[in-house]
Amino acid sequence: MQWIISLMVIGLFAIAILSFAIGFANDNSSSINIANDPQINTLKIQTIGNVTSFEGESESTYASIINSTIAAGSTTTTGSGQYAITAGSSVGAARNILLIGYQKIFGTGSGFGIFITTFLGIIGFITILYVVKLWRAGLPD
Amino acid sequence: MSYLFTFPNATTPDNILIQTATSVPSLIPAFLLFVFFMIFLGGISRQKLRTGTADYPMWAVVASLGIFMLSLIMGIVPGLISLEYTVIVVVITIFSGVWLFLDRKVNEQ
Repeated sequence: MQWIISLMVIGLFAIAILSFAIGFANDNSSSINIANDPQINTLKIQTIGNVTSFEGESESTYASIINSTIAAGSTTTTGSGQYAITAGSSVGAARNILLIGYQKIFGTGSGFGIFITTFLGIIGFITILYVVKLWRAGLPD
Repeated sequence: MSYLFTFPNATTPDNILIQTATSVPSLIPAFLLFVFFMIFLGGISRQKLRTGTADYPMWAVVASLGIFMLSLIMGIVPGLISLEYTVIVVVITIFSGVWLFLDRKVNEQ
């Protein structure tokens, strides 16, 4: 769970930084405004979309938890719907942030794409392991 | 006598910094780099002396937020900093945040 929370906070941090920079430039009529950079604008819109989709997914998961019932005599959970908040949108937010950030500094090389795919694959794998451990054996280590 | 750079006009000192930055384009990035590492390395070394350990990601965020605010303020004046450098500073700030938040555990502040 800590990975998903970290990834979502990264998304919120990026939105806060970009919104503050654009708002500062607009309020002061700055000659330099990062809103004039199309990739930065795209990053902001995509990150807001990812965070918003996570919000919707968490609400539907919460609704499924409070609507679920436990039958008398049952001792085991038969489904993992309670942990169904996907890491997809949060990993997507981190991917966009890292990828566009790298491209702004080092250019559009293909080398970093391989790295970021592997790195986020590892994060997704760890997240899945946490979910399985939490579901089967209580709180993870 | 010929000089390597065009000298700024010191009789109108309002634009002396902009003229210097125009003659030497690396002045503003070098200044931002200096401020970043002064906060980053200075904070790390002092924290390490006091507590025995240093919080590297936290000092990276503090230093990058420092140059982030400086670059935003410099962006108000035309000709002082370019859009590319401002975007790179914003990206470095976000990367520092990524480092900080991925470094933290759930039981840490």
